[in-house]
This record gives sequence, structure tokens and C-alpha cells, in this order.
Amino acid sequence: MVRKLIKYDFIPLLRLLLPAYLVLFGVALINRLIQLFELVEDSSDSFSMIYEMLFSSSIVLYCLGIAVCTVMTLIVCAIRFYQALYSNEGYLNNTLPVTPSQHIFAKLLSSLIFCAFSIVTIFLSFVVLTFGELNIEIFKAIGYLLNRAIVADAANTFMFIIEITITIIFGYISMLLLLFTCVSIGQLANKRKILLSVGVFFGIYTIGQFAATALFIGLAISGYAVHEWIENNPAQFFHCFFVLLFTAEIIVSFTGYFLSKYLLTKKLNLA
Amino acid sequence: MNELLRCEGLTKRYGGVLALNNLNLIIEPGKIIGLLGPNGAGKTTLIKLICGILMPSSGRILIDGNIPSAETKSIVSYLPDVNYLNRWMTVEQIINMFSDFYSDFRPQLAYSMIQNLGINKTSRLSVLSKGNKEKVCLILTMSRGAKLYVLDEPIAGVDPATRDYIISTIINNYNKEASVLISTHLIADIESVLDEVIFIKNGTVVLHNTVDGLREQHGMSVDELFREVFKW
Repeated sequence: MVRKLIKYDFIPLLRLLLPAYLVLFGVALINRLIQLFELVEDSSDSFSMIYEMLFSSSIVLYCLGIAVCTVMTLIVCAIRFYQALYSNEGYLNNTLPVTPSQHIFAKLLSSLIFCAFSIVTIFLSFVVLTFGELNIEIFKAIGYLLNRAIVADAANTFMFIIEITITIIFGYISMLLLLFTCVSIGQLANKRKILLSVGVFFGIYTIGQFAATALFIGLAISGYAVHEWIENNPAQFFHCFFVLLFTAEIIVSFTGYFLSKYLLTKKLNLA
Repeated sequence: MNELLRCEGLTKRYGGVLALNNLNLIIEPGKIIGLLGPNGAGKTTLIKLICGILMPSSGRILIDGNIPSAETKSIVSYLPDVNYLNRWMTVEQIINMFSDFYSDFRPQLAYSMIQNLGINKTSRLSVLSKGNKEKVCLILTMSRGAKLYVLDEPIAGVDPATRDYIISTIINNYNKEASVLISTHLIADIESVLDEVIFIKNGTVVLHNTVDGLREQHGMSVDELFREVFKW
């Protein structure tokens, strides 16, 4: 059933997100084409000014495109969760012979697929942007740095790669489940459901930021022990940091899942 | 007694508002039942509880012996009083979706009814008229071989010709071993097809009887009796 739910989630998500991904590609391509008209030494001042303006504009647009692509994927996934389960479409989806858990898993998996698409799109657009010799140089440099890290300390390098990958994946999972929870809380209202969802999200996000800031300030002023730990064994410190981050993401994910499931099962409030 | 639906002491509160108050009800299979009552009587709340999209505050509801769950949703075919169709889908895609999720769905029946209406199966649901969207929803509901059909205001807000189409679609296509629960205000239009009626008032069943029994007992039509029971 989850596979079937994903199938019917995939098309609306693709319809909403594909244009954003194509725009990012387009901006990267335009930027690469502008680079083909790179200034030669005897360029006139007016040509130089126009070129610089176009080049910097397209780079700014590209950076904005990356931000929009990442954030928009998450927002669209949250909107689709709301539309499918809490708007009029909910009358169809909530009467399908599937459990609330299957709905949440399906929405989570289809959203994760599109988050992965957004990362791949950003990477490929970067390849387009730097296509040619620059591209080769960048990948050579990354390969060189990775190789040096492996030669210096292979075990820790691989551990860090695994930890960063897991943290990113669970970062997306926890963020999506947090968004689903906020949408599920928002639908409890009889009016302005989306506004309440957004308010709840920013409330929780702000509390999370305060907690993280308090933790780091606590570490910074904890005195000599932490500083000595970082100096004597930086790898061990950062492994612990990733474990802590990962644990926090797991806690947010489980809380988000159980809260969303509870609200979808017991507190469904279709208009 | 063969029970398809049983409600025991069913109560539903929305904050301080009591929508259903200790409602008791038994529905047997093979019947077409009118769920009748004025606005705010609790008809839609009862229907939502049967379909598993609301949880009771107290009491219990059993459908074919089971509390509302994914299992009961596979035997209940529900037509809500809102348009639930995904705008981006085509008629064919929504039929495929029903085929994918409901093992009792009869796609050939759905396609033949769609064809009879002159609707192109490749049409997007967003371009269909309001009337045709309602007909597509009804076709999807009635193309299932469910044990219980629950139709919330299926003939409200449509012209008399469409009303006739809807009623004939219900009568000609439901699974004969199943029961059909129809909530409506337009009693005169469906009275002739009903086997039983349930009058619901202030969240409680005030009358549940066969149509013939009511006519015999009160010497008036169901429509006349409704006006008598619910007069201000």
C-alpha cells in the first residue's frame, strides 16, 4: 500500500517541483554561457561593465536558485502533506484502506525522494555552471583533499563521511516529520489552519535554535576540559558532536512521527 | 440478527457542542436506508464516524463486527458532500487509483457509466463542470462492490434531471447484498426507493422503521411525517 501511496504522491510533487529544478538548471546554463564571453584585456569600459553586471546577476540568481530549490522542496512536501490529508482531498485519502502510519511513511518517503532530487539537481547544475576546465580542476582538488585525509587517517575519514551522510539523511527526515507535525497541529484550528501551522513551526524552530545556542555557549564557557578535549583529540570530539546531533534528530523524528500519527488518527478535523 | 453496522452509546463532542448524544443504531445488510434530519442534527458527524474520519468521544461503532480501521474502510464506500477529486488527475487516473486501492472496485462498470455520460476519460477533473464532477464522484462510489455505501447529501444542490440520474445510478449499481445509507433533506425525491428511514434529531435517533411500517402506522408519507416530526 505504501508503494501505491507513493505512486500517487509522486506526480503532484513532480508537477510542483520540476519547474523549480529546471529554472536552476537554466540559470546555471545562462551563467555558463555568459562565461564564454569572458573579458579580454582590451575590452571597452562599457562592455566590461555590462559583462560584470550580467555575470554577477546570474551568480546571485544561481545562489538564490539553490536556496529556493532546497527550501521550496521542503515547503512543497509540507503543502502536499496538508493538501492530501487535511484539505478536501483528505476525504478521499483518509478513507482509503490504509493506516495513518502508512500515510506518514508514504509521504515521508516520497518527500525524501524529492529532497534527494533537489540535491542531485544542485550538484548537476554546479557541474553545468563550472563545465570545462574549471570543472576538472574542482573535482581534482576535491579528490586531492580526500586522498590526503585518507592517507593521514583513513579510519576517521571514513567515519566522518558516514556520520555526515547519516546526519544529512536524518536531518531531512527530522525536518520533514517536524513539518508534518506542524501541519497536523495547524489543522486542529477551524480557521487559518496554515497560519497556525507556520506559527507552530517557527515557535518550535526558535526553541530549537535557543537550545542549540545555549548548548554551544555552555560548551564554550565550560572551561578548560572541552578546550583540552578539542586540542588533544579533535576527531573524538567531532565524532561525539555528530552522535549528539544524530541523537537529537532521532528524537525529533520519533516525536514528530508519533505526534503526527496521533493527530491523524484521533484528531482529524476535515472541514 | 445479521448486523452490518452497530452503534452503541455513540457520543461525539466538538468542544462544548454535543453533535451525537448516546446514539444507538443497528443496520442490517440488503437495505436502502434514508438518514433524515434537519441541519445540525448530526447526520454528517455520524457518517464521518462510520467512515473512520472522526473518533467518537465515547461509545463504540462496529462495521461488520470491526471498529473503524483500514479493514472497515475496504468495505465501506463513501461519497462525501464535498468535491474531493484531485484537480491534476484525469478521469482515467482517478479510476486507476480506485482500482489500485480497492479490491472490490469494478473499473469496467465505471468506464461504461463515464462513457454513457459522454465524459472523455482523458479529461482532467479540473475542466469538468460541477455537475459532472459530482457524477464522477458518485460513479466512483457506486462502482465499488462494497458492503456498506454511505452517501452524504448526494442529491443536494443539483437539478431534477441530475437528481434522477443520481438516484437511478445508486439503485442500479449497488451490491445487492450491501446496504446503502443515504443522508438527505430531499425526502420526496428518494422516498420511493427507501426500505427504511432513520430520523435523527439533536444527535439522537428519534425514529427507525421500515417505510411501509411508517406509512401503515402513521397513515402518511415519510416526507409528511418528517415535516410533522421536525416542524418548528
